[in-house]
Amino acid sequence: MKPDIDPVTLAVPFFVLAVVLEIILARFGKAKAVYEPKDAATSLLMGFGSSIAGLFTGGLIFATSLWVYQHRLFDIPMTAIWAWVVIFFAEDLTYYWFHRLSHERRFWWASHVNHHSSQHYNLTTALRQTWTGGVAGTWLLWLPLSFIGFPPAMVAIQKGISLVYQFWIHTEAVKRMPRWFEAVFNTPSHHRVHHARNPRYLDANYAGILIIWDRLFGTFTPETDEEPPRYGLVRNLGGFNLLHVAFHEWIGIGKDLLKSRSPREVVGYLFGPPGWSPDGSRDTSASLKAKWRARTGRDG
Amino acid sequence: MNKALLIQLLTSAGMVAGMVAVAWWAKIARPTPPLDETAVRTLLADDFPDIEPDQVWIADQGRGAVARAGDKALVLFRLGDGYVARLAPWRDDFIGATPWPPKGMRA
Repeated sequence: MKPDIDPVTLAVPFFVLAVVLEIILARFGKAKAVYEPKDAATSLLMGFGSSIAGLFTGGLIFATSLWVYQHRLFDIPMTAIWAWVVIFFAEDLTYYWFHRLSHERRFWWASHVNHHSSQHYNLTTALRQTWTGGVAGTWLLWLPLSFIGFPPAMVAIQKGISLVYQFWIHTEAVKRMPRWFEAVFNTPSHHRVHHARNPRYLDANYAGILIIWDRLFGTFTPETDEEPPRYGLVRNLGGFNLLHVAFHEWIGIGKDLLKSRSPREVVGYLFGPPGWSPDGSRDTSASLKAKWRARTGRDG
Repeated sequence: MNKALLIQLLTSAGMVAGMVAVAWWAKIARPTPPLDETAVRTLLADDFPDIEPDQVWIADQGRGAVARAGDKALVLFRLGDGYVARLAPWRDDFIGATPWPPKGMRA
């Protein structure tokens, strides 16, 4: 179930035109973009599958939001400009913590990892979306907005606006935006860092629209010309099989749980950082960054 | 399934096919010349910066490689226009193995 105005649905023609334009500009040497057909197909089909998966959980999510809204603290009018200003910041802050949780805890990483599984960074990467977001339950993080009193349709529209905004930043065609823009907003440069697998760039730049949250909470890392981002996962996937892309981390969790020997291990495998292991034999983002710091003698 | 949803899904599938066709037509993937030892060492250093291979063998007509570092094997294989690296216990039958990558390495 969707609100009457769904920014993502309205933006679909723009998505298609932008992808085609990025490819054509790159084809004629007017912009930087790399496309590998199988990779692009995987990204686009993940996006297509995500829409279908959303049909199964969308109703539950919207019904739950309505139920919470019925127990709201305040009546916030959807027609008030101040309400849209407040929800813009509130939703973007919620997105920051959703996104940070989705990277730093394995249960939610299992749902989000597919978005990072491409070794490319182009506009189709933006559409490589999860099939299991509804099951992972991260949508619960937006319920407090309805409990405060923002109508669920308003929350859904603002979430859609955020997703549409985040589409255009998945590109190598834009090097840097004006300095004031880079200071406040999430940009292609900031988000390239977020998609990079270089140890220095791991677990950084979780922003949706505003990069200020990363600056505020200490997760901001700037892109440097001396070390271009390398995209993908720390341990890249070995194929383009859609089911593997969508479910590999869930399967990995299942295998680890089957061999776990204590409640501590169960909790660690489920809610520890990705790469957590009882004996520390696997790498996490923190250990990879520590090794990088030791190797290079740099901070970061 | 209602008709509007069916039309929406079919239209989306058609647009996916169209965009992939344009990407295929443009031929703007990364160049992937056959690997040589220098390229293999550079690629492996990205994934395993703390492991220095003793020896490198090119595999799969330059589309892959295996390197030995003590009792470890560093396996490299092409995926699309990129490469995937895996760390495994060393086995002598990695050298010259076909098909490439050796069984179990894609997982």
